[in-house]
Amino acid sequence: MSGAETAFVVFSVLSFAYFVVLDLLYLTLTALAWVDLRKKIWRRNYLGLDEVFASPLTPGISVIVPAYNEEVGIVESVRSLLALRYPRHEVVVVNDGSKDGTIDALVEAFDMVPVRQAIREGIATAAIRTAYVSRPHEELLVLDKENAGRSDAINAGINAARYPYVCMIDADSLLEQDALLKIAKPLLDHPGSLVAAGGTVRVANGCDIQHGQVVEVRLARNRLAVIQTLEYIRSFLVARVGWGRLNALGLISGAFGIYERALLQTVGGLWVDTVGEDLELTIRLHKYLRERGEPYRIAFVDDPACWTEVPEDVATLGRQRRRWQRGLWESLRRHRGMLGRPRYGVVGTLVLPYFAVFEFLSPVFALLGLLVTVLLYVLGVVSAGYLLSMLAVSVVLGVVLSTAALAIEELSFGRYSRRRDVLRLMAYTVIESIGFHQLHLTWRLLGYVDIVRGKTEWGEQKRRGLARPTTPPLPHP
Amino acid sequence: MSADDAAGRQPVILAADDDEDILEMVAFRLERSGYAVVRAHDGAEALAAARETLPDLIVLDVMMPKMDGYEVTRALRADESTSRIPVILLTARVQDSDVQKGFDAGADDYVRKPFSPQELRSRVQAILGRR
Amino acid sequence: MTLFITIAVLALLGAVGVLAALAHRRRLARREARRREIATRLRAVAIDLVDGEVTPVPRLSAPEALVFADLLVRYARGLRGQAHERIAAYFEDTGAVDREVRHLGSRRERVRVEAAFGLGDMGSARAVPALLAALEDRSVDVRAAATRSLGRIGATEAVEPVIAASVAQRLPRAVAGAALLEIGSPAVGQLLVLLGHEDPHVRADAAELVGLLGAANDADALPTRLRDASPDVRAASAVALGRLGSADARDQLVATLSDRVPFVRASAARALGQIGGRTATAALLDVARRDEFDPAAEAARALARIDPALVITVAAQSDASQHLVEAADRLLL
Repeated sequence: MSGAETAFVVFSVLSFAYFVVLDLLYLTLTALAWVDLRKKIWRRNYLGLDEVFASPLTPGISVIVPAYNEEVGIVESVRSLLALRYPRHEVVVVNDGSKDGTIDALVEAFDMVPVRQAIREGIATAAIRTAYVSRPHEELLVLDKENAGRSDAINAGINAARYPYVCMIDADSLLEQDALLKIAKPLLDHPGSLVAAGGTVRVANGCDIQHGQVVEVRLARNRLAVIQTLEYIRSFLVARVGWGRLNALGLISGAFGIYERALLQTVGGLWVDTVGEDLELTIRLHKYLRERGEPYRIAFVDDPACWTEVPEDVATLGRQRRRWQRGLWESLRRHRGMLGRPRYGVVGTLVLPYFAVFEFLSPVFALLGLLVTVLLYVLGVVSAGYLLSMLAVSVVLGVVLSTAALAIEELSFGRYSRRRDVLRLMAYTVIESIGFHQLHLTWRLLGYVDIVRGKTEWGEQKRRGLARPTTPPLPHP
Repeated sequence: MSADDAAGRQPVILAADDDEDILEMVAFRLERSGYAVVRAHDGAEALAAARETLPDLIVLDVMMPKMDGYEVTRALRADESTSRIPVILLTARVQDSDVQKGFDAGADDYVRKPFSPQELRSRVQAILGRR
Repeated sequence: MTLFITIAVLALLGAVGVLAALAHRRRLARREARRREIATRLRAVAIDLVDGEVTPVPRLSAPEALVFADLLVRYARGLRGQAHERIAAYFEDTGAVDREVRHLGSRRERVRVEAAFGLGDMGSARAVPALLAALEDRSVDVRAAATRSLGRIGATEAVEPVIAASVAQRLPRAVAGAALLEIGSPAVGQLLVLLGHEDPHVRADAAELVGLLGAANDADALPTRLRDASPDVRAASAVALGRLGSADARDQLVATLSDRVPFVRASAARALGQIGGRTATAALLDVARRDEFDPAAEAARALARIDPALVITVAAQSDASQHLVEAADRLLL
């Protein structure tokens, strides 16, 4: 055996071991999620959300909506946010220097008037040009500020927020009526120690959407959207329920999460120089709170309450995945000091190493390792049995995890009511594991290139304007 | 008991609530008291129905999807044809500021949830009798 | 090879799991459709019962009786007064209350939670002793459900044990608070005693609830709490005084405007806005002009309620703070 051959074999075996560890971890998390949900699911009927809703003891929440060129859907989405079932909430829209008529649409629809609004100086942001308040809706505030990115817009919203908790969402996030009640429930159960909660995000593509609300859950026609639906179900249902049980939630999705406002101001809000701002913030919160040494809790709410649009074309999706990889790198680099340090508890010893090895380095082992093994088999270096075992732990186990997630979803929430949709999702577990996942890894591999080139600008995501307006959008003045 | 007015016409009440059970109970109760009831399941539907049927009175739940009760009331008040129709708000909220908000929006009365059917009926009669 | 087969079998098992789940869903959907069909049929009878019409409830088959009970429970959640009592009487007559009381002693946690929760919707006072006993259950979910039910029934005898369970952290504070709010003014006496409790969290919660439940004369115990050692208690007392609108406390609240903790000053300012009266304006104006963000913002808002004309005048002056300017702008909307 030549030196190069030996090196390849060693690499292949390493990758094999990598897969085995990863599989065991995922199977454990899946099992944890299943145990957790089985205990929790019947309890949902006894939450008494209606009492929470009527209670004056419920803390107020400021919902912050960053908007960039959202002229098409913003009015619908603000209307549905104002109508959320929650005793005390306000909506703060931050227009991030849109080039379209976002501001005009809002001013027109909600009868908004400029006001010299007092805003905290807590987190440094780009200049705010004008603040508007709505005459009929005192719970609506719109900030018009210079363009400086989504994170900067949210930071401005945090500064202006009135209530003790803020909820961050995307302009095209669709929240269910009870979304705030659901995500605020852990706050009521653990007042004082709960500092943040992440919600479950699902794919809205294909759903019947009226007036900024998901009316009927349906599967998209677009294949990429179906695959992502599966990815989201698996990732939120299994991975995060499991991590949440260990009080080690590593990521609160930027599409739907609540935070204690004062804490965000203490840690300086979102970091504007990264594309993975939601991940970075979650890790930074863990870091700050662990260093302070007081007990704290970051909860995960498994009941799906937020729906979001995912890209339906390969190019946009590829850019998104490359961006994820870059964001992950930026967060890991900034917090490398936490890696493996017991001082940071499970987050330092388990979550961050997991992110580093099984997320960031996944293209190396999961993609190249697999390729090398196939190559070695073709060259006759390894046996067919070895290749099959490798395929089993890499590709077939993906199908196992996806079908398990799907089964849990159906047994617990059952949001996809049409049989056709569930069967289609089941068929796509195969396509996702054999083919798409490798494509995903390729994009992540390309993410390394972006990291090396030091790319920092956002890949612009094309939006289709999900909240399809029933009337044509306002003409641009 | 009949609630027919002097002209012998049966008064029409629009009832709107997103909770099907509550809506049915309110509607049934009012129908039994001799009113004709038009049902709506959300704010937008309520507003459309109000403009179309021009009822004698509207019973609105405050928290409804698409448009809340306050918003519907304001829209009714802003429209010439519906500005004089009395509105009773059904509110699950306990804070005084919310009651005030209802009156500010132009509501004539409010009934707190959970409510007593007798109370609702007497409020309705009081308002319709007043006219 | 065996590894491959094992994992392939696992994948197949997963697929079978999905199919089984699907079948389960369909069964549930069929059951729900049946429920709806029966509910439509029985709705008129149920509303008759709620309305106290004399029509007797017809003989119901077992599934029909379940749906009927479910309908009544849904109505019960939206109703109070006589209608609610009639629903309770129905459940007492049919033996449902006694059955659920027995279920409170079940070995299965789920059965106990369901019973504890359901008894609140039935609204029968006969269940109160059993629910009080359930406050000692080993499962926090049973304790919480029993608390909620005691609140819905309005059981005044629950005030003491609920507060005790909350103090001992055997109940989420929000659940205890919500139940006490439902029980209403009978809870106030106990809460006033708790204003002197050793745990500041308890004192703060008690102050908040007194503010929500009390009458004007209950406010007498609060002003001393404005000098409590815990800022949480000071803030909660200020909020409560504001809610109760106790004009007698105005001077003490004005003094609290110079508390050393910002959120206490903010609460005092808000309370002064709710109480009203021009004697506080000078102090509020000072806070609105010079204090840090939250107290100044609250003071400006309070002034806008007490004396709108003054706010508009001072906002135009050169020493107006951003908060006074904002308050004036909002007044002029």
